Amino acid sequence: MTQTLTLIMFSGELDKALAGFNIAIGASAVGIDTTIYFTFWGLNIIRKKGGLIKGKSIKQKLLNLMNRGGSDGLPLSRFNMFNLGPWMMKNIMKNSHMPTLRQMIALAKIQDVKFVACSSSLEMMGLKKDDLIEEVDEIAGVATYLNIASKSKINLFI
Amino acid sequence: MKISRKLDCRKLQCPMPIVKIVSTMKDMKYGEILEVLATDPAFTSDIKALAERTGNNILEIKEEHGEFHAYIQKLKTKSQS
Repeated sequence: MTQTLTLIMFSGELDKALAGFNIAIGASAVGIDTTIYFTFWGLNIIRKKGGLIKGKSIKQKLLNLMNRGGSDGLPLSRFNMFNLGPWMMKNIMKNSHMPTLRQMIALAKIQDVKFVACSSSLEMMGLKKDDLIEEVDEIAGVATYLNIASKSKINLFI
Repeated sequence: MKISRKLDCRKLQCPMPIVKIVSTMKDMKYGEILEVLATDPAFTSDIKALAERTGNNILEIKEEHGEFHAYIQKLKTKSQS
């Protein structure tokens, strides 16, 4: 039986996303079936950049005004310093020949990592599948996650 | 030792060397040997773990001037059908 890895991507920060994708890429490279389940702030990683302010109600629009998302615009969990931190970190990464988060997302997809977006988080933020990047395979709920996770030996919450 | 392929992973950081090795080895025949050059400090440990997982054989790992040279032989195993 093939091994599986399930990763819950709860955080929407650049550093945590990099750590998550690093593991996902490593795992899928060695033949482990990998699923990333994006929920809450993690949805920002798989959101399309820009566009109109999403949401049905005023409150959702306000939330999305503060929380624009897109893998290029993620903050750092520490030393964000009004986005100076991520800018510096991306620069350092470029100089040390590390792939960008966007490239890591693409690479994960090439290696058949499955991307699942949490339905209730999407609903809360007033987002639809069209607001997410093409790499996202499906929108699912907790039952789907539990089904995959219960078969997985490795289960991470980031 | 007859080397069939060479892979330059110098300056690449984890997990890129592993990703490149796996994708290169997919195209190789059983018994063929891959030479990998790398500078990632995690390389020795990672390649041993990779070989253990995939059932390939590490013939030699050596370090020269801060660069790692590894020789891996592709073996026929269940996990890479």
